[in-house]
Amino acid sequence: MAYAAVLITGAGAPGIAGTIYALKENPEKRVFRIISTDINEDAVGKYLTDTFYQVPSPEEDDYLLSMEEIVRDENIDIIIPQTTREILVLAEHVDHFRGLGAEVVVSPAISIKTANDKYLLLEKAKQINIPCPDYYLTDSEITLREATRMLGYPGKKAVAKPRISHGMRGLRILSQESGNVDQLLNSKPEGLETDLDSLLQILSRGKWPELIVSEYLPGEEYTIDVFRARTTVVIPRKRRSIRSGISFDAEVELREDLIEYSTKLAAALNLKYCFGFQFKMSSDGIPMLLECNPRVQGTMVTSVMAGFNLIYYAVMEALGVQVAVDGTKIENGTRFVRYWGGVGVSDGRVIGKV
Amino acid sequence: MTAGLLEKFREVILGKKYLFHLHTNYTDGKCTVDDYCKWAINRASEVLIFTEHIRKRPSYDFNRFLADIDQARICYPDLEIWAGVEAKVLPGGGLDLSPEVAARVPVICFACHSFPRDSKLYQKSLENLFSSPDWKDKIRVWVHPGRFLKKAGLLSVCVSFLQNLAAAALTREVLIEVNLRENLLPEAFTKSIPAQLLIRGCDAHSLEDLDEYYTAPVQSQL
Repeated sequence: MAYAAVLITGAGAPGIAGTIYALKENPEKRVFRIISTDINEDAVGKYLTDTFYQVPSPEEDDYLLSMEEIVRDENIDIIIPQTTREILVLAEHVDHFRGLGAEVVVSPAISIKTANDKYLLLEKAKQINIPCPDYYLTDSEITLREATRMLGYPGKKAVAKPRISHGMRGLRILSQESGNVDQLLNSKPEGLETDLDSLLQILSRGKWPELIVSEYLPGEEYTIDVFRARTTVVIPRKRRSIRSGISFDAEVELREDLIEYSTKLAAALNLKYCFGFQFKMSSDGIPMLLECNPRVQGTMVTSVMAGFNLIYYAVMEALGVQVAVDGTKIENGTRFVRYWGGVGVSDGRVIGKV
Repeated sequence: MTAGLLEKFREVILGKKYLFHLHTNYTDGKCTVDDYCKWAINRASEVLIFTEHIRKRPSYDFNRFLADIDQARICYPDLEIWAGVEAKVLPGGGLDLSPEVAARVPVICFACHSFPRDSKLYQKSLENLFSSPDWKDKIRVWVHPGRFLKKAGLLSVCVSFLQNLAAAALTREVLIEVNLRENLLPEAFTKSIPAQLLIRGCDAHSLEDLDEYYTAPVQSQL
């Protein structure tokens, strides 16, 4: 008999295979029945889990109803939300799902609201002396221009991103050197860099958004995986290679400063289960907070392979089983290298995995 | 257990028109304490027993919930209103409930919401809980019995397992809920339990839920 039925949302999210791996390769050899959902009918998780359901987008009224039906029909014990769009609505209904017999692996709604709001997050970090880049909240052309000027643009690069966004959506690096011939010929067309005038031109076409404009940090980027229940375990990893915002080569690097900052921030935000932060090094070599992912992170499987299966332990915590993490050995230097994989499908049946 | 408290509660469930297992908009219910009271007055119900979801770190202001109940007792003097909580049973037999909150309510419901599908662990946990001295001064109700076995696909084949657990509950004077919303318990099982140790639970989250249970023939005693 399966130990528990676990529903993973975001079956098409980049981290789906890693989350499934974490559940299947758990240290106690427990067997879970895994059900997945996604807003897309043909998300890849459909072929990797025992059962799959298409659900409405979380902004739609019938999303909760649809999730409720799945919880009832599949006798779900645990829900692991993988997408930023879903975590708040699920966090706001944890009691409802608990009443149906399912626990949601998610932090309190108030914590998620702060963590997802880049401005509130940086304000909170500043209060507890966690290094942050210089930043300004802008809401108009005038304030945007002023913020970039204060940050030394055009002499220095700056970063603009929506106050609340998912992944890299809306992110732009403001650079006077954007659009030059060298970039055209030698860079992939990811379109992250632009100049201020081009950005203003785009923004003038619609409702002006709130943007956080911050100092550009030139150094290495780190993702921090955090498990927080009765105890806290923090595992920083360097992002050696990033493509479209996803770590393609990650290496565990147990830096004391990142562990200390993440532990403090996790407590200040009252986040729980498993989640993460991102830091980037300044030109002076100081790690500065970029953002928080208050959910399972896409490449968290790196920490699982380094010796601490925080996704599994989050599930166990949600089931009420106390996790003993004393004596856990995390292998510093563990790397996780992605490759282009996939599943072969014929008539809806998996015929091979690469 | 304070003998007088349990006796009084038994008198309520045997002799009065009561509504047990009510959830309000403090958690996943859709209406307020006051809404339920108005409904009860209109339907000539005499007793309301609120059993709000709770955890060690509540997601709402428990003091306000209790204040609402105190206010309702003043506004509706003809109603008898009890405050209680529904707490999650933890593997091993603990409860996801702080002693501070427990000290403030006379009724504690034990619910297995999400629980590892390990029937030995489940049995041991409930037995430990039923015999735990921590909650013995309270009116204790095992709510949603049968849910675990349903989830584990064992409900139809394990009536004896349920009966053994019921025997453990009864020995410790833990009441057993007949959950009208889930309606999971086999008739053979409920018939084997003394009537004074069973309690009908609406598991209501809205007035519509109450309307539904109230009009259903099987719940004519509500």
